[in-house]
Amino acid sequence: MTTTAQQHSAALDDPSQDRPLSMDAIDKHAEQAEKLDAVAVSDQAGKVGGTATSTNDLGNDLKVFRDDVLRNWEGKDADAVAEHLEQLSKASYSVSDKAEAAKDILQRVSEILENVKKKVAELAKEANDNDADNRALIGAARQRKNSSDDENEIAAAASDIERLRQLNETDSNGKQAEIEQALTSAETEIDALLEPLGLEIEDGFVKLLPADTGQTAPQGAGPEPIHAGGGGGGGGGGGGDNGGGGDSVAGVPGDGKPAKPIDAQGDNPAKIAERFLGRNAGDLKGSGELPAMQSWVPNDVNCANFVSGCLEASGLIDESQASASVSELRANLKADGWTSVSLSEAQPGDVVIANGGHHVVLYAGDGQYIGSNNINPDGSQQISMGGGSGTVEILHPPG
Amino acid sequence: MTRQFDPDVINALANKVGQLKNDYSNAGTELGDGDPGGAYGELTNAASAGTTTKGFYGAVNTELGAAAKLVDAASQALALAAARLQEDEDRGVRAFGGGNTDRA
Repeated sequence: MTTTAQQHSAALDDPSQDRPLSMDAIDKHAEQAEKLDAVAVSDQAGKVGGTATSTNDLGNDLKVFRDDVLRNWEGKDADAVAEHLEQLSKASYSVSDKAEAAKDILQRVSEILENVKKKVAELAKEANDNDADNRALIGAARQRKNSSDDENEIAAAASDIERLRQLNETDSNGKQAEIEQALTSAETEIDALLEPLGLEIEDGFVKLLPADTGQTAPQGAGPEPIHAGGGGGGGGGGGGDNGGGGDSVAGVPGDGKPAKPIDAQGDNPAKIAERFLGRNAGDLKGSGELPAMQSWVPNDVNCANFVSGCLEASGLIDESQASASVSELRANLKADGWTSVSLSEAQPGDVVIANGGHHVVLYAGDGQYIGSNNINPDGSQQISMGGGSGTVEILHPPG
Repeated sequence: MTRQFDPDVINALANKVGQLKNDYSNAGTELGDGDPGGAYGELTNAASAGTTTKGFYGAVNTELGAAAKLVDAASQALALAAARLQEDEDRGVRAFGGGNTDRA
């Protein structure tokens, strides 16, 4: 049977106990920090900077074209076209300014990542060096303890082992705290820097698109979407045929094949909505992917139809609660126990009644919205981010 | 009398404005989707940083998409105006010139 003194002596002789537990945490932090990729964020800054330059140049082009219009054409129509080109030019500068600011932000974020990566590596190395030194001293004390016959010498060496172990642990804990502090302050700084990227781009092109039942653009704002006709010499009216049909800028699949209902039971409705970014509501409503979407709904008023489709696909409502009417959907959700929450309490997937109650989108988190918005030039809807302006109520599911 | 317009010049302008549609679309293609991949490693805010960045890229891409559509619409409007102006001019010439289709 071993005595307490023998156990104590065995513990002092065990080198594995010389290494503080916090060294494991330090090594893990170092390993994780090594994965931080500042170059990737710097590349992003470069791309955004490229967009800033190109949109600035395109703004200049539009300005030149505006002057050309006024030089070569006189009258009210010319003034209207010139005014429109000027607005497009300003919108381009606005996007350019925002991209330029984002470039600076991402560059700074990249520097922070690089610095914290370096700092964590340095601190981890210092911690490991200290640990090695301390353990060498502990080893020497152990040697003294085990090679001496003198009781006093043995006791002194044992005491040294304990003191050095404590010292090693204090050193290591200190380094761990320093590393965690460096990581936390980097995270805080990055959060603060990235915050403006979540804000809406004001005075850009989207607000110049035709407005109707509420979308990313403030209602009623914005000029007539250019109808060149109007006067010119008889004929008048008409115009307005710009961009009808299905010309798309991005992301519209249009392969004509019937699609199956998506399998998204239990998924967050905002995540479901993200799958359809860039799709035209007109295409989506008849595709069968979101069975709760009704195909008869006109292409310019599919907001509630789309939100209903996402909620049904996630399993949060059944088809009988789906509606193409904003007010009916709102009433159905409330009747089902959905509760009103503030924006600060909103969760991704909550239903946002916007544009004074005429529009509905989903909350996507981080102050962003997603829904079927009237962003196509012909006034029809496309699934896009935005559409939360003029929010009157946010509904959160029960439970 | 000075002419108030030159349909050919306006038509050329329509083409130039139309070219911007590609330029805006290309700007969006070059920008990409903003996915930072694993750039933020295992920082506690890695997911939100990625979401915010992608959200920003999405907003810029939406702007560029809207720009492409708007400049295209402006180009079509200019082309339409040029065609109408040309028609009016030709009609005027025919009225005064007894069927001579050469422009004045």
